[in-house]
Amino acid sequence: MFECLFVKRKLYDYIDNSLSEEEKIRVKAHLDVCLDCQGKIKQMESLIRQSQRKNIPQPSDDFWHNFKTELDQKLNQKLVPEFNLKTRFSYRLKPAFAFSLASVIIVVITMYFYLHSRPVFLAKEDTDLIEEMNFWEEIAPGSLLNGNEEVIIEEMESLSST
Amino acid sequence: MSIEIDIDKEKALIMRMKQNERSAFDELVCIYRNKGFAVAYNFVDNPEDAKDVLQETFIKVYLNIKKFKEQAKFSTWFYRIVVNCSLDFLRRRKTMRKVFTQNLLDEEGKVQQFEDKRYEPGRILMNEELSSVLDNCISELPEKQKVCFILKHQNGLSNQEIARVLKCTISTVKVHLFRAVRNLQEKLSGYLKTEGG
Repeated sequence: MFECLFVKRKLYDYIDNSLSEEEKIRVKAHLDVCLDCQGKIKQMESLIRQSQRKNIPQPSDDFWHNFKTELDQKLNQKLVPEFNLKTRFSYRLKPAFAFSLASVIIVVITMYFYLHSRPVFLAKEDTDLIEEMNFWEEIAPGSLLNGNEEVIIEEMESLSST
Repeated sequence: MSIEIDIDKEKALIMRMKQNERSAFDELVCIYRNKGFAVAYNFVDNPEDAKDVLQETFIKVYLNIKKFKEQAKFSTWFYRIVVNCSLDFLRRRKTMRKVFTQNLLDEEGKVQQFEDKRYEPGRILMNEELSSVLDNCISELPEKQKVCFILKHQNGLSNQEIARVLKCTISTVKVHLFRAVRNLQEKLSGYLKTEGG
């Protein structure tokens, strides 16, 4: 019984011819007398023989021609990926370049507003007052110069005093 | 079943491939396509699927050839990629429950591109039922046992070659083979008694 257990574990190696000489003799001696193990080894041999008989189709020349054509197409697709929006927007500006660009844009915008804006101030002299009135007239015609200059001057003086 | 190719010629081809020479790749495809097809077919059991697996394999070979360190044989590296692609395919197929059969292709009127060997004289002796059940049982084996069994008994690789492909020891391969055969024997005991004896 113990010998059967030992031999059953060695049967595959026996068929595979990968046992030592000593083990081979021991297994063979047991096989000569044990019908159960003889049955097991016949089953195993039959199983392996059957697996080796598997019929693998022999592809024709047409098959290989199509195979190569499809392979080339698939490979080319891998090597040159299709252009799409996702890949287009995946390109990112380098941080240093992006920072410089943002700084320049901010400076240009600041300069534009500085040069094109005009400070509003309250006139302290008559010439300044006339200039300021002309300025307001340009912006909103008729809002200040309504013909009553004394009232306007009084208003301006009251404003400047506050 | 190791691939017969002059080592120097193979090294030269690989060198040319590493320099992005497409003609070298084409030559390599011609050399390895039959062996690769046989391995892929034994895993996926369908010529069209085997074709897809083999194409995927060659694409991986082309894209990763620079990573191939020439310490091992190219055939070992190639077999490893075929096996991995085949197993990936089987996992995908299992998930998606896709079944492609040769019969279905024939019904759709596709040109039969394979020599039908089912009616060869030697083939008549073969137990069709056992063959079919055996294929199913092999496909149900645990992954490592399946890989070892297919490479050894259907593709004729030695234990040493299988160990290199799987990056394990020869003893581990032997254990997987022993367990695979034992599992198959248990599942097929009824058929084997009538066929073998």
